[in-house]
Amino acid sequence: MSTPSTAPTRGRRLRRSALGAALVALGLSSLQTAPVQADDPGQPVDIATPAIQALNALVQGLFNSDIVGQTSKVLGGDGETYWLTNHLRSDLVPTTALQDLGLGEAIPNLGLGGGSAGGGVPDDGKRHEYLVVWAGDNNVLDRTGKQLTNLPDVVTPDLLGKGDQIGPDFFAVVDATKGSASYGKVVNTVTVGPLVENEPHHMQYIWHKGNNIFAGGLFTDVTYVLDTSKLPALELKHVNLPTDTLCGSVPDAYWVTKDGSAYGTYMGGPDVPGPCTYSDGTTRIGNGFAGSPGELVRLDENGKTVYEAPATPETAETEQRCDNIPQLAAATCANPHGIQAREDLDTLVTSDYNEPRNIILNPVQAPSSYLRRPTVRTWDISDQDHPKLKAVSFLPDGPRVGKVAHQEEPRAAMETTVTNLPSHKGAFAETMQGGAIYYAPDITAAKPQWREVFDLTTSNKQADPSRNPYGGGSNGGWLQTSLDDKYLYHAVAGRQPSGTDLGSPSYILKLDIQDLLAAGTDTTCNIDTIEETVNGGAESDCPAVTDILPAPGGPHWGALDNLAVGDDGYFHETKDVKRIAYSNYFVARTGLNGDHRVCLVDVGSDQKLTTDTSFKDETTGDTCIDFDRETWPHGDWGPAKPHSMLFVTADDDIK
Amino acid sequence: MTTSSKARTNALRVGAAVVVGGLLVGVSAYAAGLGAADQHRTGNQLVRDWSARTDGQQVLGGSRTPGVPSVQRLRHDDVTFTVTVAPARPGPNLVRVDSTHQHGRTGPPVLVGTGEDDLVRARPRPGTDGLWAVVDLPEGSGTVLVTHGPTHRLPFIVETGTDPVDTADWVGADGPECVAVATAAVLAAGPAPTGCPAAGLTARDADSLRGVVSTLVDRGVEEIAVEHDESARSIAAYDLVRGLAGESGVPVVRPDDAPGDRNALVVLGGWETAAHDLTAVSSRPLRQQPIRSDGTWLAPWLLSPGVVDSTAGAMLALDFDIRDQGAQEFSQTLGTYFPGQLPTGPAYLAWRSVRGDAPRPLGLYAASRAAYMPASSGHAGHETVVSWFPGGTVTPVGSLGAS
Repeated sequence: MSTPSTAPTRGRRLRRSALGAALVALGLSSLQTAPVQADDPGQPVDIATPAIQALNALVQGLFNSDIVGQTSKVLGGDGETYWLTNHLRSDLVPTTALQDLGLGEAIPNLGLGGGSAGGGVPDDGKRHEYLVVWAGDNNVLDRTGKQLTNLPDVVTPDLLGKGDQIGPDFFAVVDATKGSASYGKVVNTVTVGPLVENEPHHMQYIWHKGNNIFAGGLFTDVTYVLDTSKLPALELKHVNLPTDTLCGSVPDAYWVTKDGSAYGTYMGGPDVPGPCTYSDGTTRIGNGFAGSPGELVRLDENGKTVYEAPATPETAETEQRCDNIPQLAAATCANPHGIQAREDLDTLVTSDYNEPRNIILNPVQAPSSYLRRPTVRTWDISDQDHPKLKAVSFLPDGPRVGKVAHQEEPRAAMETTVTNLPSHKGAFAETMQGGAIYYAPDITAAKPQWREVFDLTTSNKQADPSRNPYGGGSNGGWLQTSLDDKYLYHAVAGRQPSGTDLGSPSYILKLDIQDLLAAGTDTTCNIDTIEETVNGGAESDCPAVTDILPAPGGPHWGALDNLAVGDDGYFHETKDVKRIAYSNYFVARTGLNGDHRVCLVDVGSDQKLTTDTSFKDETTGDTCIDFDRETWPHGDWGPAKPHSMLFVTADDDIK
Repeated sequence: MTTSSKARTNALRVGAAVVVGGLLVGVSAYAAGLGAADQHRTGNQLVRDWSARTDGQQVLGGSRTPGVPSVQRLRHDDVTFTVTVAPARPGPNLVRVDSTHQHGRTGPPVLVGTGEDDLVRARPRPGTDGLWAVVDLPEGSGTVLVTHGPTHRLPFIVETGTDPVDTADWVGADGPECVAVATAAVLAAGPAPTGCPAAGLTARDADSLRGVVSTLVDRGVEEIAVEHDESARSIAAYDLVRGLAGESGVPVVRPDDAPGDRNALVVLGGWETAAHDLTAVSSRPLRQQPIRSDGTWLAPWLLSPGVVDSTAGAMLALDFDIRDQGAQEFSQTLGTYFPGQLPTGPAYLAWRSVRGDAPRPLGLYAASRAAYMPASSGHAGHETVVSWFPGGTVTPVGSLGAS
């Protein structure tokens, strides 16, 4: 494994502007926690070399103002070392916070250079809330430029220079504390290593006190598990590798249960094509990595695999057409993506999106529409460490006739969200390509009854009356009930223009679902006429549009801010969510990219949505923070792709 | 054979504009340096040769050396052409053309030759990128012409020396791999190899294939379908696989045979034949494709995007990880200097050999394209292509043997 390198010795952009940075004191100490114990195979982790990592980070700090480094390492199941390196900005993070992290000696105490060097930041008396954003390096070497790099006259072993590597993926820790002097600023970037090009994807949907963060890399098939107790610093607890989940690949999302353990959806098939035996002793034949069938994985609170559960039954799924490439003897639509659970109902829900592996740039033949899944699965989690598939539901078709088969309403069920209150037993699912929202009033039923309750044609029309409102292909993503079960949030990235199709708008949708949920299992809402696709459901209990917030840039993901400051000055969890976040990035290689911004939205007392214009990019001063920036605390690595985010706070700041 | 009229010859514009007075001076100086055999070349040939050396061609390494793949770049009419000629010896040579125009089957044709009489169309080849053509070069030096439009000819001088070398391997079906490997070695600041990979099965590749067969056997595969071609490497690989399978009691069947319940396909051909054969199957309607329970396993030299693209998901036994620092340096170097050329396993291994980096223990890797949302028309290519496979990845999934 290559030598850890947390910082380039030469920036990829081949320039080092003089930032007037202070020379940070070198007498720093590493995080003085006990070494990671042998949960991981092998020995406790030697953290002596993190000092060297931190030194490297300090060297980097010469070019990036006041950066304080700190690294945690774990041993993976493959015997390799994996690490997480914090790059904390001592010009933004209060001195007391750094002292609490054991980094007091690293605080610049000499007035060298300009800027904020000269003793650190005083404590502002606020407890801080952070937005932790899982972001991928976006290496933007211009391969299409007319001016190519000249061929070297002399070929040496150092044609590129040491610094021109692919940049690290990282967690951006953004101050999300209203009224804070560093509101909207990236106070820390936490790089992962040594794996690059993970394609950072999702974490869990919501964070609760004491939870670790579970964060997946689509392409590396790795789940990173992070301790958040000492935010703004993060610590690596564990890495779950491809060999830790042999029967599945391509981790998508996570749901953390009350005990701190988690479930993860693994969208893709077994690591190796052929038969795979799951934890329950049964076997399924899969067509390999990133193929089908996917699985549900139970992880302990540190991310170790507890149980691998098959997402497909032992017989073929034939209710609707499920293509697999290559073919499987037993066809399956099991590619679980979205995941949420109701522990009180002993039920977990997953939504199937798409067989991940596909040929995009050199297709031998046009990809099948029937790779995009129309299925939702419910699971029995009465024995939480032994989840069992309970029902496979094929979402019913709607009244629209799609321009293409994969824009029929049930296609590509990306996300699902549960209701929250004990009196409600329902859940929602949405289809990214189908452009529809479905609801089942009782997920505990042996055969949950899913019906379409909203068509994005309705909201497209309201968002932009000037365009054809056709809802198919509207690229809806994040779907989340409000914690009080009154509203449903949905991020809609919009359909890109193509030929005569002007595309569809991008926005955050908020629906009033109170009547729908109040109807219980007697709900009648059903979008089954073309008129209802355009005007909304005719039945009185159908969801109604509360607000549509224009969101240019292609919003894909979002998060509720479930943390609020109490009278005691501490954060407490709340069901009265007054703020949400969203990010504009999908997966670049699909062609649906986004403008790489992360925005905050206030929820007014009238339930209307307003972009928080005080959440500004510290570089440009524009609203929302832009991940397409040159400089990060961890170096001049250039633009990044923010995929998902969570509102989180340190242990000491929440009760 | 076409008749070259004087008017037509005069209509040819070679490279950048040349001042006539300077041209005559250049021609004279050049003629003075020629041996007796060359003094009979016409004025236009001299002009062309002179232009091929001096009109802004960039030359990798700064010099043209016989036996070293000649990699040159020239910008013309806002289009940059990168031309690789190998092995740079007298006789048939393989020419690779990359340009910042879109060419290929539907774009404007690119013709390659040494004169108006022998221009042939450079074409894509299965299993690799770029456009390819074979050109016959004389001893000493020759000029490769690359057309740009109907009348523009871009000249590239290639020094071929006088040593007689059998170039058949370079210009055959496995030529592109040979060129990629040689270029990578040169780019790594090492010597150019004199032979081609398909000429024989290396010990390292044999170990990889042993690992594949043992893994399949351990996993309970009941038959192995083997695809191969007629190269020396492929034949040796086939013999090896057949022998190992036979020792384990696992029959080897043909790829065309209907698969049994536990069947895997092992592909041992070169880039072109593998891509061709795999595409022939994957281009069929899905229901007409064979169901292979244990998937497709590629020989290690087939880690090429063009081959992986030809099938949905592939397994390989490799002794490197594309995320290793050396592999990253290699892919970044290609990305910086040769953005039209995607990294491949054999090229990286040539690079690694020159750099002296240590191999990893053999392990299993899954190579796949992972789009997460199947492409709609018109939505390809909006993203960066730095990694080994645009839109894909090669992921380590464990050790050899049953898992």
